[in-house]
Amino acid sequence: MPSELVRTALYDAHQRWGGNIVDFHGFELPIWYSSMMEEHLNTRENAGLFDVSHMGFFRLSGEGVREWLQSLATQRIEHLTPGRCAYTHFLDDNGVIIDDMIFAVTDRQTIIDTQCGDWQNPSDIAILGVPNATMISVMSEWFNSHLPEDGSITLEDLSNETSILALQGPKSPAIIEAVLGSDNAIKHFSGKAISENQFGITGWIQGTGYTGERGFEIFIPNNQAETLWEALLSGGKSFGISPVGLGARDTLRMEKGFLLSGQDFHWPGLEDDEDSSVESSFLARDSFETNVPFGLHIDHEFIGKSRVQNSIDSGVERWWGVKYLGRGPFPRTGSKVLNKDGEEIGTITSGGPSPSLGKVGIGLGYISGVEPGDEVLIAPNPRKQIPAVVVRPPFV
Amino acid sequence: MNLGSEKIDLRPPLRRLGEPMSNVPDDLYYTAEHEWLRVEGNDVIVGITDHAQDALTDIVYVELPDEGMQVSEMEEFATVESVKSVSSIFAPLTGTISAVNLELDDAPELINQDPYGDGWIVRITLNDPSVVSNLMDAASYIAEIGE
Repeated sequence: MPSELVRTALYDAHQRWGGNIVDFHGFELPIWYSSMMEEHLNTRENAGLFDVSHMGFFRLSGEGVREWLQSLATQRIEHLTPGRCAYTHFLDDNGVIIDDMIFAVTDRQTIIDTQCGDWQNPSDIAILGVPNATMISVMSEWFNSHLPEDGSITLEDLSNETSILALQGPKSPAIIEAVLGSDNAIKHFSGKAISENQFGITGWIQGTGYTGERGFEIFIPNNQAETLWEALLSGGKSFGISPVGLGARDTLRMEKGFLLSGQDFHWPGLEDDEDSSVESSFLARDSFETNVPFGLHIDHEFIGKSRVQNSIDSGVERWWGVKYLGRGPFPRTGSKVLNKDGEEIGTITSGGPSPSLGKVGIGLGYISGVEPGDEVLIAPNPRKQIPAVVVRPPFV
Repeated sequence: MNLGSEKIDLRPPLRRLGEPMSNVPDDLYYTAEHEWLRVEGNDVIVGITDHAQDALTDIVYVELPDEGMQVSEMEEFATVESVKSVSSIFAPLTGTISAVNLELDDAPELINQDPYGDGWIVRITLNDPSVVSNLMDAASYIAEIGE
């Protein structure tokens, strides 16, 4: 493989565990270990362990950091107390989504307890954010260009020195208890500095993920990644844990109707992905169009708000789920959506078989003038049109 | 077939440590598109190779052609889908589809379980049976996939 590919700290572990390594946006990461179907179903049934170290890790600190970030975010932040996590979009001046992000509000002592690098700008409140892998530099530039001129707010990009493990599935809390102690089995959408444990793991743990299951995302120094990976797989063995690749990660998030940056929305400031079958101009979207209600709080001022308000007022085409009523080739990125008269009314942005629903075809895409329950046709190739029903995700 | 993909690059994966080589039977012909052919008189039975099914992982749908369809060499006549990919199956030679493995409708996983047996895809009656010998033999295919 070309040398510019990045290996995560867990590359050797993936080889040992039988991972099939592919080039994933410049990172050498496993797409599957045993089988995407098995890994998907086991995450829903028991627990799965994912290496998501390709994702970024930002620390924002300084006096007024909540209020400052809220002025850039579709989500309300000023009311969030330390230890709380939330989901948001960041829009450009035209109201187009640059990236989505899970972030956590935290406080001075907690940041000290995470032991994550030297802290440049100690403050009472700090925010930890997780940008998407391909958006780390873009989001870093966007934040930096909007920092207050008085230097009160600081962005530190801890991505390169941080490994991120995601433990997902109903057995996750029991596994965290067994491996890292019950103090670290934090609640859904809460976060804390990792407390003392038998493996000497330090860093940040939050009750979040991309599978729609109960789970944790764990941010640790690279040199602890192998230790924690092996400890979780070993301590989780009796709970049925398995390592999971990026293939099942995608089907898991699709069943829950979670957006994938670059595929379900695409910031126009980026170069076109030559493999994409959907034009990036079609994917330049605002938060209302994505139909993801938990990322948008319209009653505060934020960059790009006027386009969102216009979308709300005009009822533009929205992002919906479709579920096959018949059998046929699956909906895929770029598949056209037709009404019963055969007129094109939308395009699928993500799709495939749903492992949890007996491999029925499901898709997500922007469709005009429909409501849940409407019947549409999906054209996965020029030969076939498959009937499907419009649904509001999640599918499971 | 092409080992194509949707969003994620599904190149034939690096061989996992300790994993056996692909099964490449001596008595079949092969194409660079990872299809195999078994000659029976003027007909060939066509499927995808063990190497291909392994690279594709769990096969979840096969779009089959109609019996009686005329196919030309390198024409797409079927698709095989895994969880994350759609791959085209090309006619290895020119002829008429004379039988289709309808069991794949309900059990596409037969291709994973038995790629050279119950996982066969179509039977083609060739216009010119003599051209089969231009295809790769097992040794050439093994070299092609780098094993």
